[in-house]
Amino acid sequence: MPHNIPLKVGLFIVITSLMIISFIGYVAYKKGFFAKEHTYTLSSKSGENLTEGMPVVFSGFKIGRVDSMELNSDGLVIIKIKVPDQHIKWIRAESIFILEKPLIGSARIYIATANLNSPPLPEKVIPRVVEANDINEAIKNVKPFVEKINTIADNIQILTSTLAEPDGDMNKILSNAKDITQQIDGILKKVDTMAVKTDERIYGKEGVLPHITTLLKDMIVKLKKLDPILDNMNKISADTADTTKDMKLLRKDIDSMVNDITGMVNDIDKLIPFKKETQIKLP
Amino acid sequence: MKKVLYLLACLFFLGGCSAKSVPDWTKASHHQLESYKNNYLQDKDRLAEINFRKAAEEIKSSGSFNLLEKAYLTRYAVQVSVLEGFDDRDYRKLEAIEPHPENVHFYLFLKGAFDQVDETNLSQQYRPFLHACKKGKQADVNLSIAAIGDPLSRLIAVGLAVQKQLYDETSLTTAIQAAAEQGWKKAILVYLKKLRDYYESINEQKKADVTRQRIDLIK
Repeated sequence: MPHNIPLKVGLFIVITSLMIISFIGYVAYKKGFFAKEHTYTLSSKSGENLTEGMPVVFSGFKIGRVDSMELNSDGLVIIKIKVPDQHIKWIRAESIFILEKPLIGSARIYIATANLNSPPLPEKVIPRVVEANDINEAIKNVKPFVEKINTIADNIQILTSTLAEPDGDMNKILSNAKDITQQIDGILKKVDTMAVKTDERIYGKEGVLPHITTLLKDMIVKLKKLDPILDNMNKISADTADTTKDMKLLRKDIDSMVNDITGMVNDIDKLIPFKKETQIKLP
Repeated sequence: MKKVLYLLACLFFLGGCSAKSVPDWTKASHHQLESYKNNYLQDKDRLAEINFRKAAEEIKSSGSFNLLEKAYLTRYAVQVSVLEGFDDRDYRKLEAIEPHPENVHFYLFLKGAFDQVDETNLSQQYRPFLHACKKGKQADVNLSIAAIGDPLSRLIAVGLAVQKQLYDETSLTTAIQAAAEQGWKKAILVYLKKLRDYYESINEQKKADVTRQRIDLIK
């Protein structure tokens, strides 16, 4: 029979209780239960989508929560948020508080701080919460598309109704197309007949082609007869070329003679008295 | 007879000694310009163009702007005499560099700017015509045209009278006679056509038909 059993049981209970209390205390410490909290006051025109306990987020991390909300005498919603001491560095004078209502999920207050070097936000200052409502924006964006789709649907309806009408334009077009194809068929038949006739006239016994062949044969014979004439022409052109050379020489001779005669005339002119005046005058 | 021959020889010799020698370019340019006038008025335009080009080249060899201006004005005057317009750009370039009053006023005369013409700088033969034109009396215009001695100058005056609408049967007939005396076929045809148009405008159909027949025969 073991001794001191009541003492041992008592010790076990005390140690176990101490361990549970220390565990709870440790977890609470880790969760920031004992951390110093700073309270900031925000204001909003509406309390819609705002709830107590709502998370306050910075860069996607929860850094605080909405502690309480009340309506002040001016009709503005005063929101008090609590931020642990370790996270107050993210809240600056230039920070913007945005109420985000995503398409899926619960609403949250998002803190956007462009300049982390700006001074810390004093607790007495009450910044305004800006609303960013994703659902409404999405609806606004989708609305024109929906309207367009509606218009397209209306047009399709008109088209289908026009197609369905027996006296409608589409049926008229189709009946016209039928007439045209019939006419084309008639034309093609005529073209066929003409082609047959043309074939006969060109390639037949009395056709054009045999005549042309005969003509070409005659032409060849006549061209052969022209060969001596062409030879003569070549000779004549060669003679002409020689003559042109002679003509050039002759012209040079004549030029020289004309110059000589001009000189002589000038000399004679100088010798003749009472000659006509040679001065240039206006008419 | 021998004495007469000796005398003539002496006269030639003395005359030759006394005569001042004329430069070759002067003779050549004068000759070419005269040929230009005749050939143009005889409807030999290609030859006339060659003549004028040669005349201008000869004058250019002397470097005389005055004479070159005169040559161009002669060309314009000949064109006026056959009722044609003229392109005065060549003359205006020369005038801009070296204006000569005699040339400037003759140019204004050819352009029909009679109010701007200074009579003292215009040839004596045109002055009565200018007076008559300014007065606007047709009879005086015809008389002043008939009084001009040189046939070309007479044609120029008729050309200007036509330009100013100061012409009638008499003035056109005067031009035709002047052209006929010199054998200027182009001028004859131009004025015959003008006369035919004139007769048609005053409803003288018979005269117009006769003139047309004359034109057909001359062509």
